[in-house]
Amino acid sequence: MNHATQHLGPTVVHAAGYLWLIPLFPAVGAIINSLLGTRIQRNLGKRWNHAIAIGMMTLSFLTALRAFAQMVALPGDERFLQNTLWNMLTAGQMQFDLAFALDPLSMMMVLIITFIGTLIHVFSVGYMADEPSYWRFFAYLNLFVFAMLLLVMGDNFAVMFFGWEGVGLASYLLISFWYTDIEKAQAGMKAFVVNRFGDFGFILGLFLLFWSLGGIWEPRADARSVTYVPEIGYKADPAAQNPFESTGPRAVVVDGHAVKVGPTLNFRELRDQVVIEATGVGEHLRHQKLWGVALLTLVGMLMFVGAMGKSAQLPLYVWLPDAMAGPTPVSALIHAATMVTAGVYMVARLSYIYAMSPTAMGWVATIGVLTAFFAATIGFFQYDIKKVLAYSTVSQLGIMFIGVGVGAYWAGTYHLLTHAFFKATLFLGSGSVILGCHHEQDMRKMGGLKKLMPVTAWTYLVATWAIAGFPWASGFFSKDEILWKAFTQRGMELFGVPAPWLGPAIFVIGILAATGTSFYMFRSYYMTFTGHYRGGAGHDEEHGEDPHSAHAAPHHAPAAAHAPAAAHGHDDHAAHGHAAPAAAHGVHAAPAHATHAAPAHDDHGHHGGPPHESPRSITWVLATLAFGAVAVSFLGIPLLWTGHAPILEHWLAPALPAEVTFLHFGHATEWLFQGMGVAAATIGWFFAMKLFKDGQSRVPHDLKHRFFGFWTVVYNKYYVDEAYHALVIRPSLFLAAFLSWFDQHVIDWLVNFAGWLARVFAAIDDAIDKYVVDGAVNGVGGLTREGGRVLRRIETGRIQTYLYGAAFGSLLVVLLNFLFR
Amino acid sequence: MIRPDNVLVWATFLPVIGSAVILALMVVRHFLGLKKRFLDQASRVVTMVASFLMLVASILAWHWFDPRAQGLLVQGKATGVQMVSRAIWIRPFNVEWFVGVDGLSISMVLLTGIISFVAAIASMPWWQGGAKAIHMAGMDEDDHGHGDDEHHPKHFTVRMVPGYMILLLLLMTGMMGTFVALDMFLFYVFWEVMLLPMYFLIGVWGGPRREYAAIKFFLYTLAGSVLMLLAIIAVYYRSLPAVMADGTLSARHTFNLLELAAQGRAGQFATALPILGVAFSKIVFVAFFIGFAIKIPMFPFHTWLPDAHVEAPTPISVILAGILLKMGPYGILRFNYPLLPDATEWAANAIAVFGVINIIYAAYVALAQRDFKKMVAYSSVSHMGFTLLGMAAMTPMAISGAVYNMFTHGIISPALFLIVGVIYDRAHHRDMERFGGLAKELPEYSGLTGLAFFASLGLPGLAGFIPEFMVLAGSFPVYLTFTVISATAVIITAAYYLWAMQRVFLGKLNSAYAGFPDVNWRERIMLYPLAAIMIFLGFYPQFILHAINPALQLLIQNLRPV
Repeated sequence: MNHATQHLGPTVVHAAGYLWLIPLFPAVGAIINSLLGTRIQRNLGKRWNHAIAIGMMTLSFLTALRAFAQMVALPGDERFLQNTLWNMLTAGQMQFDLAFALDPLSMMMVLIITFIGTLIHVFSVGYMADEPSYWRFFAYLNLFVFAMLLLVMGDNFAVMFFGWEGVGLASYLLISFWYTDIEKAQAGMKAFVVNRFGDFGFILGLFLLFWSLGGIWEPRADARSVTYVPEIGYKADPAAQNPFESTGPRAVVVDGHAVKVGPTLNFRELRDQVVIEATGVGEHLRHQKLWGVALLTLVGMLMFVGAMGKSAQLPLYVWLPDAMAGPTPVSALIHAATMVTAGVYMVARLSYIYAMSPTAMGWVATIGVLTAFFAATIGFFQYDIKKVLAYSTVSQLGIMFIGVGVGAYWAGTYHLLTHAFFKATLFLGSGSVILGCHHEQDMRKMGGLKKLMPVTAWTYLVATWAIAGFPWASGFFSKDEILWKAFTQRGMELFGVPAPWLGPAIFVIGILAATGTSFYMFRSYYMTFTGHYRGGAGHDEEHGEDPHSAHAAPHHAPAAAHAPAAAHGHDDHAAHGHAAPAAAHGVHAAPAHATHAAPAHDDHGHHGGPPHESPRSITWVLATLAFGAVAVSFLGIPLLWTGHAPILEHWLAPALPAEVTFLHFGHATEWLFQGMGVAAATIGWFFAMKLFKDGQSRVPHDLKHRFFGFWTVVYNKYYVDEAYHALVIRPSLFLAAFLSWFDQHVIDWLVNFAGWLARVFAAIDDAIDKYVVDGAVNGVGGLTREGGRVLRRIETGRIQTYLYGAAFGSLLVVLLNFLFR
Repeated sequence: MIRPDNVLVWATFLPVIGSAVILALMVVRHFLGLKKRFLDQASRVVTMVASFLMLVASILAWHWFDPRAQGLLVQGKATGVQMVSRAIWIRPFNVEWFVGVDGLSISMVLLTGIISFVAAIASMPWWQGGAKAIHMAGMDEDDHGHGDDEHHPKHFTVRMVPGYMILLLLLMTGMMGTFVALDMFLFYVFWEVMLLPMYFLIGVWGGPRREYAAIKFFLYTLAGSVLMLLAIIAVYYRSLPAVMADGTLSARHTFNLLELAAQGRAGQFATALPILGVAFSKIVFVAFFIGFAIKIPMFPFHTWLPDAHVEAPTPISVILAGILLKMGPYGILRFNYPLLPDATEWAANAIAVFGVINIIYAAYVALAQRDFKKMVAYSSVSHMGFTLLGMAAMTPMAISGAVYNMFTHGIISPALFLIVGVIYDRAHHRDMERFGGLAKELPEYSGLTGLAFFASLGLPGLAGFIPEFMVLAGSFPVYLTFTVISATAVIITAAYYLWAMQRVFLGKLNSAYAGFPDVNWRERIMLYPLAAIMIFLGFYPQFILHAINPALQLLIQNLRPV
């Protein structure tokens, strides 16, 4: 079912000199707010802080629309806009510019980022209204959007990497936004450092790819001559030291266009030389090996390590749940809709590289499905509403990686799009709930909010439909396409071993994960919005089931000190420190008076008071996003339903020039599989409804006690954080301490020892001076006297004696001259 | 007045003129009895003016430098050396006054100008922002109140001011001279001129263990100098005569570095008779290399650096990290590479190994530090390892990265030492465990620190990323394994910087530091320009690279045996 609308000619470039404005606007906003923010806030009011930030976002979005209009007007295979600013670096073979490019893929990303980004900026106005460093929040948020736009708009790996790390910086700053809480600060650091592990893999993959374009890899036996290659430099023994013999950049003419062949960081140059068969590069790369492994496999796997970090896949996902320490709009924008999808974007961007290596494909898809399943199970038992959504994000990212792993690049990207909408809705909905419940995040203290917060409840429900995969919301279409493509993909390999069973296996695990997703998402919906409100002033009834041991995770241990009372405008405090979690049964706590929709936040930061619907700036954003979560369905309505390829597949085709083959099945099979998708969603929903609707059932409680050991393990996220602590952090710190000791006590000791030795020599010297040299001086005096007495006897006055002396002397001179010439 | 053919002379001697002026003022004071306060202020003004003019001269030199020019011809070949000023100095020994810049040294000249001026500002007790801040830093000019004892040491900016300024200016001359000298003898003279003021600046104006640190620094570098001197003598006696400034041929030998490079390329030193059974060029290479490696500093010769930094006053740390460390790699690229290409080839793998050790070892040691300044010092050692690795790989990308790393590190690490100085002036200690939550009290300072930290840990968009990236990318095809090992430093570096950030700035505010003043104008005028340079170079590295690339290309091409 591969609709090969492949355009395999050279990329046709259309200049668009205004593209740089798209990232510039948020950058300007970030600069203004970070340099002048305090003064603006103090003198002009918070209104101006967010006005600047939102204004810049809007301008950016409008410019993106302008680019979209220009792109739509172009023929399908010429949709490539480019804008070069200046040459950043030229050294040897490496050459890259600060340049931006938009193809259909990055265009989609830019629209998501600027549109959802703008909405989330608007949402933040209400959400952060009480924040003292309001300006800082908007500065960081704008900085993030700037970096994210660099990431997706970069014309080359370098600019992309600028964005890649820049979003990491923004993420660090925003996670530890409330830095006075050391735990949040630690969460930020964790995110950055874990991502650096990924970056380590990413740059190594990048270097491999870069140099492999230069020429031959395996050392050649005959290349033993001394050569100088201008691009590589000089090495005496290329066979021993320099496996990369460069052929240097050259040009191959295809369709009247010169296509550069050789090392490059430019996406377009890379794509052209790899995809166009006439250059021979693709064929060449396919057969290159390093350490006996196909080179492209190494490239794909290493680069995916970067994606593991950024997109929170096993085993580097650990930072994302902790990242929920950041303000909720941040979780929605960065840790759900945009930044974490960077890895998916990267794999899709390099689709043609991944498609050439079945092992790399299998690696991506396997990690994806394992993550999807693993994270879904953790989601089952979390009580913190944001943690549920965090694990759900990890799981959904896994689904996306199944898509881009099995070769369904457009479907993976489509899931990225749908997920951006429904997960943003869910996170912002949870933010609205948290705000309404006075910074309460524990779902056991919620309940019954449907009546109190109707808009939030409805939008949350719509987004839950979408993520669960009901066929009237967008998630169904993307997830179903991904799993179907996984099932029909039989060409993947697992570490070089052909594994035709891998596709179906991924489908089975994927459908289980989808069932689980439906279950825990409806669980969160029912726990939060149905039944009676369980929060409020008095924690009435101790369930007696909450094992506090469950909170004994070391990095959470000191959190008990952060009592909810300490919170002022910070969400999530209570999440760590709920000393008396109440899950009241049948307690009448729901206040009679419902919403007071007035955008007054006077009671924020205080605990108590009934939950209330959020201000209009929040509900409108929620409604828009929920509408989007349904509306984007039309981009991906399958071929099976209409007979046409989905709109988005058609749109993305020029940007995804990868040739992947899938097995063909009849329509009946495809309908059957769609039915299985719906069944999975329904089963999950059914159990969640039975167990959690209205908080009536005792079954969850009983089940938990029956399988308490298992529950504890899963509730504590399989103790992965603790394992990391023991296996990575502690050994590193130990090594650091040891080397520091070594430096001070061994190396410096040697230095001091040398100094001591010099002093000892000096003392010996002194003694020699006193007794030997001085003695010698005195001795010389005596010697002269004695010598004179002896030599006096030579003065005989006889000519023979003098002649003997002269002859002997000249002989000595000749001899010496001969010896020491 | 300043022309391309004398700009380097001005850049070199303006500071010395300044110190002469201060000296004259001291003499005047002795005879006419000026007020001490007047003399102090006058010597400060003189220092500021002299170092500012030096900065102007170095910017002019940068401006006039043409990367594509052939420059001075030596044996009919382009050397790229420009703005030459040349005269015969000591005829009997063929010693010339011979200065000029090529792509290798021009960036260092610019850096020396910038950092010297920054260090001059850091030596002033001005713009401190109110009597309270002045008192807090111990910058009170008058002696009543508290004296200058161990418990309440006076700030270095108000102790024996004229002497300090004279030495500082002398140091500047030594540094600038070292980078522009093209005569081996002249180079050595400047190298030693630089050494002595440093010793006194650490030993007199330093912290509690200043004598130990100063002696250690002095002996270490002197040991290096001795080796270097022996190597210089050996090279001199092996060299062939060359044309001197007045067109006559020198007697028997030459000190002219460009001629020596041409002779080295022709194999003059490779074919020399062995010394004690070891190839001449290898022995000379090792002697030069150890001499320079001590300055880098390279493991295992690095232990003077943490001590010297910890004890040195802030401006001296700034100069030490910003410029003195760069003399090591500069010397290797100026002496070892062009003069001894065969031995360079022989030693390349060893240099790479030491580079990797520097990178990883020092990064781990930095992770274990509690002392803020020591952590920054070890991070310097780690970052200089990238220069070593890039030099060893000898690909165009790697060697450009190595030299560019010298420049960016010369911008970033001074900023880091200034940042340490800011907090030390207020808290009078540097133990990171004892701080906490400072971001609440000093937001602007925290922001600047964050910027410098991220620049140093190699965040793209800031100066530190590009050289690391270039070195790693350039070394990759030559030293695959070493590059992979070195690349792990990106993780460790991020860990120690962010951990430091967390311990010092984040968390609950330690109440002992409540009411601390944020950065004052004195610190702002140093930190903001450096921060701006970091961002500028992060997005436009070609600004520096376009000047240094051709020279380095030439350098590695000339490593090819004829």
